[in-house]
Amino acid sequence: MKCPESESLLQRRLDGEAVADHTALESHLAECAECRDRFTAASRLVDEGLPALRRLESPGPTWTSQVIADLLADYRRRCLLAYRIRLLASAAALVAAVLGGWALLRNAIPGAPTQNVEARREPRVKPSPVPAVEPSLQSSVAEAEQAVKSLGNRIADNTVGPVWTLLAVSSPAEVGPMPSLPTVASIEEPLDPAARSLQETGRGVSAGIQSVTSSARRAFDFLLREMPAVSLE
Amino acid sequence: LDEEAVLVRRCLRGDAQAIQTLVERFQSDVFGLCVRLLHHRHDAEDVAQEVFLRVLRSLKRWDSARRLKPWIMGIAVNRCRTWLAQRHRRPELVDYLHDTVAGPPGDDSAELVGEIQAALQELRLEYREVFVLFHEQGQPYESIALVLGRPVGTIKTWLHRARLEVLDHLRRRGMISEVGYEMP
Repeated sequence: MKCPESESLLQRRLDGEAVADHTALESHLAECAECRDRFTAASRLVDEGLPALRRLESPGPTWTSQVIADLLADYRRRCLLAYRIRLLASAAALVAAVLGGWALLRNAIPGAPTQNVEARREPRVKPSPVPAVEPSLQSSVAEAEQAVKSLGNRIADNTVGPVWTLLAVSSPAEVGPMPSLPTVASIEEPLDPAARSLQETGRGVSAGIQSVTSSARRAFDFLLREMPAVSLE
Repeated sequence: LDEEAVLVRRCLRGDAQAIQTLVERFQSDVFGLCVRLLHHRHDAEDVAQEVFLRVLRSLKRWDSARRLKPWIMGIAVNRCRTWLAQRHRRPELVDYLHDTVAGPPGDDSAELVGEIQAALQELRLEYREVFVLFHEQGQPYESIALVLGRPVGTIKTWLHRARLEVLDHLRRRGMISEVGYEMP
């Protein structure tokens, strides 16, 4: 047996395997001092050193509880941050929806101040035989504005209300009293026939931003459902 | 694996009991590895805490088809490497050896353990990682390969070289004079 074979057997021994070729190894170790010393050191390492090293290291007595408390605090911080980001995104989506709806409504109204839209729509609009339509359209525009405001207020009410409630529960010291939202007059007045097209336009806008508002609501429902069952400090 | 996946899902929901279970299950392995690689108890406590923080933040990226332990130990190894790199760059007043976990007082093997620890400190970091993971934590080659992201053959080579260096250190320090080799 040569030194490389002896070293291979040494590694197998340190891997925990049995060394089979005893006779050849013994005769080699009797001749080679370096290999003999390595096997002797390996014996001490395996039999005495490694069992002593393997004993479990344990941290200080308060370490575990401190780590767990820090992990939970970090989890709460991350939840709160994600919640604020979602809140901001929902508010931005809401504002964009209201502004977009308002711009859409203005462009869709015949007689709106935008000259380009008026010119574009002129050939398609039949001239009304009734001369009293013009004042009725003005009032219809005003009512449409009111309808959009009412819709925006309702969305804001449904969206911001639970948020203020949640913030008031989570950290009452940081959040002031819930602000009262401005009330909007009812839009249930009967509309004259000339304003029906505006009413339909308003419905179209409402249906258009319904997906946005429902997404915002779902986001808050999800948020409320996923909030950890721990009190926020 | 299913049990680990359930534990991870509970941790992701912020379940305090699950987080405690996770920490208590792996703290010995993580802390033991940090102590051996950093050779400093207080540093090991700091790094082990950081390891669990990163584990909890990264749990979403854990592959549920793999075991949890090699993944966590891989994070621990990486944090230790980063810590060691930072420690080399900053002046240090603490005597690391004095703050290290010592062998049992009065134990006959305490001197041998001290020499093994000194030998480990002289090893290349990769050799030390492999030696600690195999001989102190009892992990198989395949698991160590997953932890360190290296082929099994490389792990075997590193471990063989690490052993020879440790054995040669023990020979130089006269730790073999008391006994002779006896065939098992």
